[in-house]
Amino acid sequence: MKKHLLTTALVAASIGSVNAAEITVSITNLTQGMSFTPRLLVAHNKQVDLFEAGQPATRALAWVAEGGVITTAQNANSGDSNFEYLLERPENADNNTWRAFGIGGTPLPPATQSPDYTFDTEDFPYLSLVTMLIPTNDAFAGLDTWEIPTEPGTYTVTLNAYDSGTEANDEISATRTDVTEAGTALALGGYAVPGMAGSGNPNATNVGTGGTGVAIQIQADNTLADDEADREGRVHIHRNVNGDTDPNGGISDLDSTVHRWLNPVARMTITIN
Amino acid sequence: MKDLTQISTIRAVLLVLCLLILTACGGNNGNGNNDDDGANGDTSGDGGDGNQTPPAEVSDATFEVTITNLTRAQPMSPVAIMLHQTGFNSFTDGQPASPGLELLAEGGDNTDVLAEVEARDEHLASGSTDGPIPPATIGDPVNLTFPSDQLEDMRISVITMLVHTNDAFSGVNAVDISNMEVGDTIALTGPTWDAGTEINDELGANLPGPDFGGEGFNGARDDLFDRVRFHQGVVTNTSLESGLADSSLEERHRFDNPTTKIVVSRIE
Repeated sequence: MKKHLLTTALVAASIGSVNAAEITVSITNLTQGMSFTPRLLVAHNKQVDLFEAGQPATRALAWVAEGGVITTAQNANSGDSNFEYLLERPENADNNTWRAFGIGGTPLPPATQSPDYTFDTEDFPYLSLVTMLIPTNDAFAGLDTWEIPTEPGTYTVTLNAYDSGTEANDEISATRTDVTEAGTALALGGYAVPGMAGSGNPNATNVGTGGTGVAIQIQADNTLADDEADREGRVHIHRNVNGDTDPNGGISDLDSTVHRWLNPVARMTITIN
Repeated sequence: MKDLTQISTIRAVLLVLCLLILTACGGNNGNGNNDDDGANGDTSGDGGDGNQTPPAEVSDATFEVTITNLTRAQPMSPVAIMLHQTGFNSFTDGQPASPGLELLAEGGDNTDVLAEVEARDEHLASGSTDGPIPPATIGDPVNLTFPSDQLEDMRISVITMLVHTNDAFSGVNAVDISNMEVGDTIALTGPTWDAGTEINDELGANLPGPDFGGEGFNGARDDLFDRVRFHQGVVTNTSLESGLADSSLEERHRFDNPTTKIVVSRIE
């Protein structure tokens, strides 16, 4: 091992700089009331961008932000538009390497540090990460095109919460059966449907019921219509959930004393080996 | 501990390399000066000292600045972008706002803020975006140019009003970007301040902009206290339990920090 290190260092010194190939990442959920869905970690060059504030979200980002979905294995309906599909398309495949962590596991609970993930960046210069905050309509924590340092060491970055702009923040629990999507009668939650995905996740505490809606309201026929005009349209910093203090009524099914946050919402520790 | 071990291993290797270079240089120069590092050894090997080139014409330094509005429903007033040297601050936390900042933070007019910096010796270059920047939108870039021999101790300040508020503004205050080389790009993010010059009544009559069209600037200083501080956020009329019943602001007007993203590229 020592000999290998020495060789690497000599090569590094002689050509000036070299990107680290292997990194170790962990993420800490800094919120009080939000859990993180499986994390998508991508090492990439300038041709790939998971999200950009001020620009409309891709469908792939909407799958993560509204439903926590990265791969087709998670949701078969996402097969033509999720990040797995997007990143593996011929025009993108040479420009990134990616890995999704925590699929099949339970969401990362509030105030919890994840296990270490080891990831081969294949010398791509930038690192990005997205993970959905649940229960919300379309909030996600994001690391946007962070330049991977060439010097070995441990680095810390903090992440802000963004709104993907693809769903109105109705703050209605997806576990409710008394409300459906207008026009389709679909149950609430998930991609392209109103309501907060992850409302029933095992870590979610204090999710109420009976709210009438925050950014949009439940209609007289007990349906919720997430019209395009009600969505924000472009990625931006999330204005935070509103919540209320009535678990069986009010406007929101979130609890304003439990589910609110302020940025930053996550800390990432990245070790360049 | 493991990282430290690895770093010190690499340092040791680099030291060995330097020593090798020094040995070579010392042999050429015949002075064996062990105080020089490898780079200096190379220079003296070229025999380059004494060849002073005449002072060249000072080239320009040009910075491209692009602001992104990160909020949901707060338009941002035409942005004041200021490049200056240390010693100038457009505002100071804990101090009263200047008249120029009051005009900007209450009425969205950056004329006097820009005049204040232009009147100072520390001023290098300043300008405004062509117009306001709508919510969740990337603004058009603004280029600012000044002679490159004034790069030392250079700072950037950026100020813009969150229009659907009484006197909130976002930006950065004298951030050091003097080390940027041509081709470098950095991204800064701006928090939200309260100018301290107008009470946060959130009444539409006192909120300018497309949603309310109320009064902007008013010379009276009627806030809780007349000092700049971080903004607490807007209360809005949304929450029945904890809201401000007569607020004209709705839940969509809320914001969390940061409210601006400021991308700076040195292009010349």
